[in-house]
Amino acid sequence: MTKRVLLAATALALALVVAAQAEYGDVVLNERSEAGGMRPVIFPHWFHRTVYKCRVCHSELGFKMEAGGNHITMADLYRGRFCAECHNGTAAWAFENNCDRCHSGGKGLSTGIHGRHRTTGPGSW
Amino acid sequence: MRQQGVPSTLANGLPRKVWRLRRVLFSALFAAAPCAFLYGWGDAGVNAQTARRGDVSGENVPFASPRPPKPKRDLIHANDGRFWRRLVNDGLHDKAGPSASKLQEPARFLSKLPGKPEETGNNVDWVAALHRGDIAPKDRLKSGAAPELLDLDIVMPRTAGMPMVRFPHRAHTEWLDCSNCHDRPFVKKAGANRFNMADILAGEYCGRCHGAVAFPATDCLRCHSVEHNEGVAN
Repeated sequence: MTKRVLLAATALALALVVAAQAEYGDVVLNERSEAGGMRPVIFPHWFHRTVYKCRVCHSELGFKMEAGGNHITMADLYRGRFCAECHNGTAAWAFENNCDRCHSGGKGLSTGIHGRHRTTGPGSW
Repeated sequence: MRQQGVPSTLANGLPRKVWRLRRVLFSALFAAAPCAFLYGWGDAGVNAQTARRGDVSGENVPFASPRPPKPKRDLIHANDGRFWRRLVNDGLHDKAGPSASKLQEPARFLSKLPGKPEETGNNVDWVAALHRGDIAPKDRLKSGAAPELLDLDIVMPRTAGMPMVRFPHRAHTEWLDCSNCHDRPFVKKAGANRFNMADILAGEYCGRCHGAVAFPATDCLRCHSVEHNEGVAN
């Protein structure tokens, strides 16, 4: 019995490791995207942290440190908030004409962190 | 040794021994398949080794294959054993989308940064990358107050059988603002914050970042780094 449980646990752990293939820290934003006919947004932490420290976005720009905790709309961006504080054509490429750079996810992705070592509870790894 | 009353054959007619062997074989196969997929067997041979030897052109290969070159597989390997998955095969990006093949591959940049295979999140030691000057991330966007650095270590002694935890404020304030952690989720008072590994693994306290964007909690000894008999006199 214990052998069986162990085997099942190992298989499950391996399957989960394989299932979570995205780059560590990738965040999917899909609260509204797909409902609005766009691909889900993929935010790569790995790239952004090479150019800005955590505090810039998570303190100055007001991004909460919680996946799914920031209910960002395109209207916010047009007001120059959140992503648009940099993605305005001066600090970084403008968001207006580059929809597909962010809206690049596959169908049916759930909002949240999709990195390799997700910690959503001891059972998940 | 067999208990009395237990039949030597199961209901489906298979002898018990054969049944057991079959179960073991199937379990092994079930466990090996995802491993093979994860490590991209067959992929490493072509991309990492032959490419380094320069045999890809086929000139140095005695029996050059008439088949077209193998298509790009889903992993990109660095020379030090680290590898990163291609964006089109990362399970997130839409393969059919217009940008999946145009976005920058993580491997192209991350392979230049220090790190160990499979231990530090992106395979990158971000603190070392910052200290070595491989990256120079800006610490503010608008002209605001200079970030506050704090060089204060907190040692947490109640770690049962594991070495004690040393929390370095310095490495954290080099990236973060005080308000990111204080007073939520951490109160600014040593000993006042009670949490355990279950909380962390559930994504609370340290687990808010460690396991999501900062090095994962599977790197036990990066935090549990002070032996109990080393003392905390200072």
